Amino acid sequence: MVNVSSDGAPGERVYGERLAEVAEKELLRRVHDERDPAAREELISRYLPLVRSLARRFSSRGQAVEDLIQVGSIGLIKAIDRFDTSRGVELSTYATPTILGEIKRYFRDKGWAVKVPRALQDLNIRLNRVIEQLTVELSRSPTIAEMAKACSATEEQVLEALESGRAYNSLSIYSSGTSDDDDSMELLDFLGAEESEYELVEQRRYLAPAMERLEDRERLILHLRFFEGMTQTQIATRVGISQMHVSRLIRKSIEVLRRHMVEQDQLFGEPRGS
Amino acid sequence: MADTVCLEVPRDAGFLPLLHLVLGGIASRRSFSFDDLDDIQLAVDSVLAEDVPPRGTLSMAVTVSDDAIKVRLEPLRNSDLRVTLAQGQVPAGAEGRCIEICIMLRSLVDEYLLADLGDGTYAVELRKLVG
Repeated sequence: MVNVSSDGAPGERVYGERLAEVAEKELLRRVHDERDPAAREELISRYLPLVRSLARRFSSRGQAVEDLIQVGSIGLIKAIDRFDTSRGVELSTYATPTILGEIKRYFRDKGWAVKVPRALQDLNIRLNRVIEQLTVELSRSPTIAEMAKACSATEEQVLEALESGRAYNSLSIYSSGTSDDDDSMELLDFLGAEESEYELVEQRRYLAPAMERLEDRERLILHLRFFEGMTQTQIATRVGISQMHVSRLIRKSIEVLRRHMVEQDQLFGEPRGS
Repeated sequence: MADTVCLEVPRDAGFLPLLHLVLGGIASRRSFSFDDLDDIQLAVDSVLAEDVPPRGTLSMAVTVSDDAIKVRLEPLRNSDLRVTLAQGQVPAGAEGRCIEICIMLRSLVDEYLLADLGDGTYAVELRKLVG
């Protein structure tokens, strides 16, 4: 046992030191060199707020946030255990994608609202890319037969996979439009660019109260589809996401609007369908 | 040459995927684009979502020719939906409380028609040119 100071100097410890005051690098050194469980525990507790923050980003996917925090914590532990102190990067830099990867994997494996066979899930993910590629190659929306050929699947399998994609709860802005790889771009990454159309949408009286419940990008997509008459393919190109994802976002947005209408009816009006 | 496929299902949201698959199978056999298929599926979903509360069974008849697909849904019962579709807009006083289904349908299909079935119910026909 090495005894010395609490200033984080490598290999040094003091009697009665408070781990909360020990530098991160020293804790990492203890985890890796000495397999010190207390240091590991301390790092975990320091980074739990990061896990919570990342888990909350996925709260609209229909899974309990507490479950996601648990899953994210596994990612955090993996990051701590695998972290290479010689790489010269911060633990937070390494931990963030690892935690996100663990949460995404969880959704990939378990996040389907209806149990969908893995083969269909995979085909659905492949279709995302194939539709994009074919749309560019053909300069139009592909047919089911063309999609099937590109995926080496039957047309029925393609239809089933497309349908199974709708069973997935991942309709939030965190959904990946083109790939489920850990390092793939998420819609959130595309947000931020101001679009002049947003203002146009705001000016529309149609659905105005409910539209406020939508994200800017969703409002823009609805505007382009229903007020500008753009096709999904054109919107996909314009917004920079896949056609399949445009389809999902349109459906999700309409569902949000519809839920709002139902709530309004329950609050102020006669039951619908009277 | 037009072919017609008919399907009768319980009015339960759980059967929507079945309707989608039938539409998809037909679209596939006629080489419709994914865009066109998704539009017609969304149009069907939109009409059915507005016909609340869902009761009884639903009949979907899909007639397809080389250049168009026609989907007839019946029987529908929601009187608000009927008025809205007949007027082409949400009735006065209900703005902001109803989905602007007419705007949606005008974007998704080329034509929609109402047909009175005589017993307080009605049918909606959605027609979309394809290709």
